[in-house]
Amino acid sequence: MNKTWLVAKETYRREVKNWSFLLMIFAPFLVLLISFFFGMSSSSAFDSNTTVGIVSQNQSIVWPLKKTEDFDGYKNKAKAEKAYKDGDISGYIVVKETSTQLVANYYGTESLDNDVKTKLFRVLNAQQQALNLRNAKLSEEQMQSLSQKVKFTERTNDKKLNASDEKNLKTATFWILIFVLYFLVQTYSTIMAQDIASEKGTKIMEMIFSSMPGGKYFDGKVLGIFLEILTQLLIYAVMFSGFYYMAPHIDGVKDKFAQIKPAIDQALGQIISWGLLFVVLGLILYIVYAAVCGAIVTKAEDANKSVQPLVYLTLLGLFSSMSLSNNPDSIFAMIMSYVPFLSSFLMPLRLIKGNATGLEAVISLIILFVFLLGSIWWIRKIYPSLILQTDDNGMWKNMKRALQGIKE
Amino acid sequence: MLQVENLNKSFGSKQVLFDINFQADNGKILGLIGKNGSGKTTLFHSILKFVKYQGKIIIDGQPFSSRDYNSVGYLPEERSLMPKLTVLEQVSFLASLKGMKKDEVKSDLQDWMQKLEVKGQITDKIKSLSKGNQQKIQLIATLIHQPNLIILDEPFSGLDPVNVEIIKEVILQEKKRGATILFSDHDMSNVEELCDDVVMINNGHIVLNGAVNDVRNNFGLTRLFIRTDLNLDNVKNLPGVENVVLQNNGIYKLWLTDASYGEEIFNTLSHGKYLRTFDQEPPTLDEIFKMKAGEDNE
Repeated sequence: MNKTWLVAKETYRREVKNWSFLLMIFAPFLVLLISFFFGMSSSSAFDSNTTVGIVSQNQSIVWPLKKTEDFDGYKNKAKAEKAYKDGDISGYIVVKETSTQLVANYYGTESLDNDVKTKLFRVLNAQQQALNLRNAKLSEEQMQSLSQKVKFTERTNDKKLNASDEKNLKTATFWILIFVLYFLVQTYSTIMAQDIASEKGTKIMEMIFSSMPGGKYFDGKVLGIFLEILTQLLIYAVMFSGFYYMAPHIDGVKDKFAQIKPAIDQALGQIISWGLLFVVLGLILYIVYAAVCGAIVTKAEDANKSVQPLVYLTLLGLFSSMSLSNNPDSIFAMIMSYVPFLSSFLMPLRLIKGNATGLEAVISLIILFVFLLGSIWWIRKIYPSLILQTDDNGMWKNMKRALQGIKE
Repeated sequence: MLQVENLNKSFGSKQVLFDINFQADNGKILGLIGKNGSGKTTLFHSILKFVKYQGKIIIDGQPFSSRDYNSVGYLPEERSLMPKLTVLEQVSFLASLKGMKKDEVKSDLQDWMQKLEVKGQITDKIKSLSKGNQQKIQLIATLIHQPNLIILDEPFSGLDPVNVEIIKEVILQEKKRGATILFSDHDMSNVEELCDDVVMINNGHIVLNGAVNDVRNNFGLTRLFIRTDLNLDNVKNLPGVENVVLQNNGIYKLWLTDASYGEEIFNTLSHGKYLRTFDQEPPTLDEIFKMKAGEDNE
């Protein structure tokens, strides 16, 4: 097997076999799950106190209210009062009916919830309406004319989005991509740097470099980490696909899912875009430089410190794109959209805002690509020298010595 | 066979190796000696192409290239393995980079662990082994693929005498197999015992190069070991004596200004009678090393 692949495989195996990888994958879902259950339990605790008693002999009033699950029916006031005192209900309503009017009185410590009040009035008003009609003694014709309802038809055009909707969707997709880039860089630049620094700390690298050129080893490390990133994205894609295909069949979810499905479909269609190209190349660039950060320190515990410049760069990219999103034609946005590391954040923004042409995007992409290739070429060259600097001279001295080491 | 020709190496403006030339033959052991910081490890790094240099490294008649990686075994000076891996995982990974298959590694590893008397199983984590056993595992990873060129940077450091003997035995077996072996050590008695040839580097320059016996003999038979009834002052007054030390075993060690004084001293002491101890030898490598290192310091 090709030695670069062997290194990639070993790096991947070591990283993915680790418990921290599983934790990293499932932590967001655990947080979501915990907050969901927390929300459910607090909501049910709240619900138990909002049931209201209804006292009426008229089943046309009691039955529809009971169906809403916000009301409990009681045959007389005494029973309702007892239930209220026992804490089974938050209050009770006594409905009295004369020949011309319904009279409802509410007894409780807190006023009725608006939602409960609306449901109550809907039922009571319908009953009052029926009572009114009965008392008016109308003819059949008059009754029919009074029961006439408004004719309402919904006509929607969901096949094509208008220009504004499309732009909003593109913007949303852009922000998703940018946050994915930010999240992956933050996570994997540290993983990459730590992996390399800990290997360097064990000083096994001399044995490895006696088996293969340092540049090829570097390729293997980067490839291994990318396989790890792909695994994480693949796991999320599989989970998302599972949800996408199962949601329409799950009660309680299908209605809400049906509402957002068109937006999801449109957003998925927008993923393949300029933004994706910039994000992928940007991610490779950050990971490659994270390897350098890991290689210039001598102890694994210093790896976090060494990747700080990259972390600040991603923060600069993220916050610049946020603050310049309403002002994409500023000179800063224009310059930054051509600077590698930052162009992945700024150029897609300018494109979406209609502030940059396709040609400008191509130029920026070429700059990013050439810079990436040049960086890989240069890092492959200095990587063995960096790794073999095991004296604790500080990061810059190590870098200087590595640069000296590559000269004959 | 390894040939190093006109090798020069600088770090920035500082040159650390100057015009290095030597040859190591198949089935022979070459000892590389020198003070700390003399350039030994940089020379090993240059041979293994870890760093760029000027000059030529030739293996079996061809310049060192990627095809040679699989036929090289290198034990670095710094001892360390990946603590979280098992013995099998660690050796398998390193051996796979040398072109070995996992099945081959598994069966050979058992044999090697037996041969080097490693106390542990192939499924044990590296961190659970003692330092000495970790060092042996690292040596196994260096040799398991049967390399033609073996470079050992201070292979005995930190080992007890029993383990030193085990590793010496393994090195001699590798020599018998026909491998070209280079090793560095600060203990000259090991170099004298194991090596056919020796190269001494001082401040980046080769100051000695040749077969161990030839190098010693070039300094002449200027060390004399005698057992006599004479006292120290009288021994000091013998002809051509530069320095005298009475050793714990009752034998005087004399440094002669010239080897020819040996015969005169023999005649003076014996008067034709029996002498229990009279041994004239060249200086040891250790003495030569100190002499050469000292010359440079002056």
